[in-house]
Parts: sequence; C-alpha cells; structure tokens
Amino acid sequence: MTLDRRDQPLLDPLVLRELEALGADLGEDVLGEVIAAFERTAPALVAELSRAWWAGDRSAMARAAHTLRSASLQVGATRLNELARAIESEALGDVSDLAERVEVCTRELETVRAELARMVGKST
Amino acid sequence: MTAIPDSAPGLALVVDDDAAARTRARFELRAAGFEVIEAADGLAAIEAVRSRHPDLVLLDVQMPGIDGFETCRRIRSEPQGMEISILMVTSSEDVAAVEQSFEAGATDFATKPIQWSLLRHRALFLARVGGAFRRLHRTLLGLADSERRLSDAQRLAHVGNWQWLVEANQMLWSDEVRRIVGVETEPHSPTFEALLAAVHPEDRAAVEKTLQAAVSGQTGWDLEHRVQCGQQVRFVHHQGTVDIDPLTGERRVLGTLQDVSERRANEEKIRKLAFYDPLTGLPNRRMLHDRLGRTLRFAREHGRSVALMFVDIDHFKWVNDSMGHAAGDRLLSEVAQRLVNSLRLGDDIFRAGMDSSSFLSRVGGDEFVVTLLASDGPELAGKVARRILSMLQRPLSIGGKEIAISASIGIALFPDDAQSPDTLLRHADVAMYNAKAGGRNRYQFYTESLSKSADRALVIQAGLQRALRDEAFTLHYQPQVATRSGRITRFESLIRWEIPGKGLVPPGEFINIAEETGLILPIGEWVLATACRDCKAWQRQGLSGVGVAVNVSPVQLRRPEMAGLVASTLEQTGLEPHLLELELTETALLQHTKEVAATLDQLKKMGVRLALDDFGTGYASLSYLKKIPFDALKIDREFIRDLATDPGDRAIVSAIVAIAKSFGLAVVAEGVETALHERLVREEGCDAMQGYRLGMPTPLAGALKLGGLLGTTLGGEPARPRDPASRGR
Repeated sequence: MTLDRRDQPLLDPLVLRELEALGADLGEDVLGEVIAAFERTAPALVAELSRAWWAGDRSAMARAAHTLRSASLQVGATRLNELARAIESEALGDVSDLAERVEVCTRELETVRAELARMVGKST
Repeated sequence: MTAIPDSAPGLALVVDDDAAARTRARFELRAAGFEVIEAADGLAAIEAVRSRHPDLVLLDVQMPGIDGFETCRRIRSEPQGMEISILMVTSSEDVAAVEQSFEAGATDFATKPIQWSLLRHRALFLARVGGAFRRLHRTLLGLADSERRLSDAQRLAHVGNWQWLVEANQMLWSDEVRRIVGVETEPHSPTFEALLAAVHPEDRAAVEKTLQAAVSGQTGWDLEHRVQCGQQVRFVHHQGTVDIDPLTGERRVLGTLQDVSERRANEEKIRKLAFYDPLTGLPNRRMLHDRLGRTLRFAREHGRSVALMFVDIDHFKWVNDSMGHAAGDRLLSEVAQRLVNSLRLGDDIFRAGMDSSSFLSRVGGDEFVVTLLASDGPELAGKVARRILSMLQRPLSIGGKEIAISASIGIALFPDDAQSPDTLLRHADVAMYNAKAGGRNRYQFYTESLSKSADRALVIQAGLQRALRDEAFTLHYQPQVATRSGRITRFESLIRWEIPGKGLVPPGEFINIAEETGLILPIGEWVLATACRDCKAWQRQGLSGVGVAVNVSPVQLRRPEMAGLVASTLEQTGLEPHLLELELTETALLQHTKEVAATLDQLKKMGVRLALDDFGTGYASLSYLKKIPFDALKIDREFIRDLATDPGDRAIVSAIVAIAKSFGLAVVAEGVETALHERLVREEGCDAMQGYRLGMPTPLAGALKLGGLLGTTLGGEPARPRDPASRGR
C-alpha cells in the first residue's frame, strides 16, 4: 500500500551520506545543521497540516505539505516526503484518503525525529 | 587567456521558505566556493539583491507571499538586475513552471530534488559566465577594446555577439554567431528575421515574444533556447540589452549567444541515470510516475483505457537469501528480459489492437509494473498477464542450479478503477496482494470489493506477509510471579507487530486474519522457535528454571505435525521440555478430535507443560479438565478486574481455584493490576499471578532485567536470601 511502504527506508542513507560527505569536505557539521533546520520547521508544518485539515482549509494544507515535502527531502525522509507529496497533490482534489494521510504523517514525523535524534546522538 | 575567469565565483543568494533546504543549499554553494546569503521569502530576496548585489540567485518557485516568478520579475527590473544569473527551482511534476520561469526572466531552472553534483557546476558556470557577459557588454558598449581580442575571447567561450540598430534595421553578427546558427561558410545577410529563423521552430514564438518585449520596453533578456543548425540542434544561452543612442535617440540592441550544447548533453546523460534502473536498464519508479501521468492524460483525451499491472516475483527473497545477491540480480535481469519478450509488439495478442502500446518499468526490488494503453484494456491485460505467467514459468538456470519462478500480478484499470496515477498504482498493489493470498502464480483484477470490504483485512494480510519476510515481528515477555515466593516462574511470550510510522498493530486485529489465511502456521512456528531460543538464553544468564509460555492457536493445534514441530524445536534450541508451557484456549479444544487428543498426549509425554488459557470466558466445560492432562489453569482477567467490588466475581474465583486444586492444577490469575488485586488473589489461594502490577510485557532485554529485579523485591512475601533476618523464619 502507498500508505505503508515498508520497502522504502525511513531515512534514505544516501542523502545522509551526502550530507556527511559534504560536511567532511567543509569541515563543518552539515548533517547536524540540516537536521536542526528540519527540527525547527517540520513539527510546525505537520501541526499546520492537522489544523488546516480540521479547519477545512485545503489551500493551507497544500502549502504546508509543499514545504514539508522540501524539508523531508533534505533529511532523506523518503516516506514522509512521499506522504507530503500525496497530501499536496490531493489537498485541492476530492480524495478521501486525506484524513488518514495526515494522521500517518504525524506518526511518521515522530519516527523520523526519533531516528534522526538517535543517529545524531550516535555520531557525536 | 580564457574568457571565463577563474576568480572566486562570488556571492550567491538562496531563496526558499524551507529552512532545511536553505541550509543544504548554503553548504553546497559554499563548497563550490560561493559566499552565501539567505532569504526566506520573495520580499526579503529583493531586499538582499538591492543591498548585496549577488551574482547568482537560487530561487524556489513556490513560497508564501510573492512567489518565485514574481520575485524573479522584480529582481530583473532592479538596476543591474539583468546581470544576475537567476536559477529557478521548480518541483519536478510541474512542467508549466519551466516555461513560466523563463517568461519571468530566469536564466535557468533546476528541479527538486536538486541534483547537487550537477547544480554546483551549473551555478559556478552561470556565475562566471555572468561575469564574462558583463565584461563583454561593457566592451561592446563602445569602450575601448580591439576586435581581435574580442573575437578570441568569443571563440574560447563559444560566445558570439550581435548588434541590431532597430531604426536603421542594420544588423551585425560576429563569426561565432554565424558558427552557432550554422551559416559560417555561406554568404549570408544578417537580419533580425534571419536570427529568429535560426531558432528551433518550437522555441521560436517564445524567443520572438521575449525579444520584441525587450526591444519595445527597452529592457534586457536572458534565456536559454534551442537553435536549429542544419540537422543539428544546439542549445544556446541568449542574453542581451537594449540601449538608446543619446544623440539620435535610436535604439541599439546588443545580444550575446553562447553555445551550451555540451553542458546540456551532460545534463541529459545524468538525467538518464536518474530515470533508469541500472541493473535491468528498465525505466525506474520515477520515470513511471512521470510517464503514467502523461499516459492517463492521453487516454482521457482519446477515450482509451489503461491497464496497470503490478508484477511481483514470488518468493524472491528466498532466492536472494539462499543463493546470494548476485544470483538475485541475475534472476531479476532474466525476469526483466522475459517481461520485455512478453510485451513484444507485433505478434498475435497485440495484433488485435494495433493502437495499443506498453511500458515496462522496475519499481522496486522484485516489483515490475507494466502499463498498457489500449482501446480494450481489460481484455488485453488478461492476455498479457497469462502470457507473462507462462513465460516466467519456464525453468531458469542460475549458478548451475535450475530454479522455478512464478509471479503474482495485480491489475487495475483506468478509467474504471481509478483516475489518478497514485490510486491506480495502489489498486494494482492491492490486487497483487490478493493474487498472492490466492496462492501466487496468478493474476487478479482489482475490484471495488477488494478495496472496500476486504481492504483492511487485505492490508493486514499483505503486511503480515511482508512482516514475516522482513522479520518484523518481535516477542515481548510478561512475567508470571509465584504468589508465595515472589519469584518469577515463567514469562509469557506475546507477539508484537510494529509497522514503522503506524505504530503497533493490536494482536486482536491480526491474529484472526493470520488464522483465516493460514499465515498463523509460519508465524506460530517463528514464535515457538524464538521463545524457546530466548528461554534457553535466559537460563544461561542466571534465570535458570524460569520457563516460557507460548500461545498456541486452534489452527496450529489441528495440524498433525504440531507435536513433531515442538519436539524438533526443543531439540534445535536445546531447551528442556518442562520449561516450555503451551497455552491453549477453550476454543482450541472445542474440536477435541482424536487427532488433537493424540497431539496433546504426545506433548505431555515429551514433558511439555499444558495450560488452559482465559479460563471462564469460553465454554468453561469441566470435562476438558478431566480429559486433558493440563498442568495449569489461567483465570481470565475479567474476573480479576472487579474482584474487590463484585462479590460474584470473588465467588467465581474461589470456585475456580477449588476446582483446579481438586484436579491438581496450578492456578494463575491474569490481569493483576493493583496492590489490592494482588492481596485478594493471594487470599484466594492462586499459585501465581500475571499483570501490570508484576510487570508489563517488555522486550527480552527488559524481561531479563526485570527477572533479576523481581526475584528479590516484588510480590508479597519474597524470599530474601541476602537478608539475614529472613533466615531464622
């Protein structure tokens, strides 16, 4: 099922390796800073998704989903990105999966954050 | 000397409303040598352009407030705004955005997710070329420089320039311009019309519109387009300005043309890599997505149907695991080849509909998707599916071994089943899982009922199959504590299934489905083996004598091989039989056939313990207790919950304990959650208890820790071997 793509990784190791490699090139904690930027924005975006869903504000949903797509892409959160993409494209249409997607999105974010935190904890 | 200086690339401005994306861009551009500033929206970007004069702007299209297009237009209308290279970032599925970007005056565009390895070079190139253009323009504007030096510089940079005096309609082309548009050798009279005529027919209208607008508005332009040079198509970067002769008031248009075909060709190569699967050479998931959207639009406009077929290789993981990845890869390549052969056009099944076409892609490990465009989708899909199944069935030799393969195919149809690519894929996926559940090596059309009534069950079933394959189950252990000693007697193993992102699936929700589909057999086998192995492990880690309880489903119990399975598991794990307790429910015993009796008898003879689970909730027939050699009886939590307040429950518990004792059974109280429960249960004479009061179900590591702890601290009157005061009692 699209909502449950277990075959897709939670975090794309390729993206994370790219960030680490870039950090190594520059001698800076690129991965950490990208994750920090993600932490600053993603939770608010997911909260905005739920709010907009309950308020029936589909265009606000599409906007939040669009930015979430970008944010999740940066940390390689493949499934979250896919969810956000689906929400963005369906927000303005007439599709009944939205409620479930938003819910899954909320849970998925928590999983991503936990995993990122675990990873950063491990690397420092 | 080259026309493109190797100086520092300069200042880059990153404009994006997503902080994480800005952060990434900042580091990437810094790695390319840029100094980087950021803006979170369009207005801030324009402010930064005014105050900092960046050489390059990386501009996200979709932002709250004024969007990227508008921001781009406004930057261009700033003084010196024409000199900035603006790279627009669009989302990949928004084709119109590319055109809009150029209309708004963008120099170039990139799609998200950004291929940074590529974009870094392009950004450098744009910033440097931007500088070269600026110098060229100044040179052309009548400042002193010799013809020869200019011409050399142009040749090296593949940059040509042209000049057009609008009022006099006089035009001059440099040699490089003549080379780029392909009129190098022939005599040629340069005109504005001739320049437009050289533009690729598909780009001509847009280029003409932009140039006309620039001329009449006395602004500049900056675009990339194609040039038709004989049979060859070239990509050029075309920039220019319009200025007014202060003496005559006549307009002079200055343009530069740079051949960027080579760069484009490299980009195309990289794009190919991004859209194709390197193993099989087939288009990948990304390409399918792109293609499917367009196929559906075409089908809608032309009244065609589309059949989407999800082809999943049966038991692929087995090949990969047992024969190695190289063998798995060979298998996939072979499957890809057979699929290609199955879809060859021009033979009988495709002959009926000459207007049909097919598209094959590999979307995941062992998953392929066939897209069929036809006037009669369902019929063709059925034929193709049958052919694929028969072609895959031919034996296959890998590493000297002959193996048989098969596939399960799910088919969803447009417009009947779904309207969007996503839904179509999902429905085909559901149908595929149904084909798997139906016994594999078959195809299944999607029907609404699959999705509606059976959806939940199907999803769970599909998930269970994957969970088994991916080993996504875990066992948690909940302690049973002896009421008298306070020691743990055994742990009950409880299966847990967690779907990442969706949390735990309650056993009540999936066990039924596992039983209906027979999946309970492999799952039960896994549980038994894991529990025995874990129990053996904690024997070694100091919890010797602490047993394990395993729940057995009625479906398992009816299998004639059940006793044999238990025996071989015990043998393999080296666990002593008396440490294993099998918990049976009353339901399991409803069909108390001769076979079941024989199984229980064999288990008993092996020395395995048997417990009657959830006692009191089912038929509670005392005859079981007489017929079956149970060792223990577990009182259902329902009777424990209100033990303190409901005298009826208390009476029942007293009766159960009395009966159990008369049969010589140990009594275990379930659902002991409070101190009061614990006290009452002890008063009633239960031998052991289980519940949150004594310990939540936890993973093995937690259980081991709890085991160390509980032996001395919890549960009524624990034995305290280290406490000298207790020795005298």
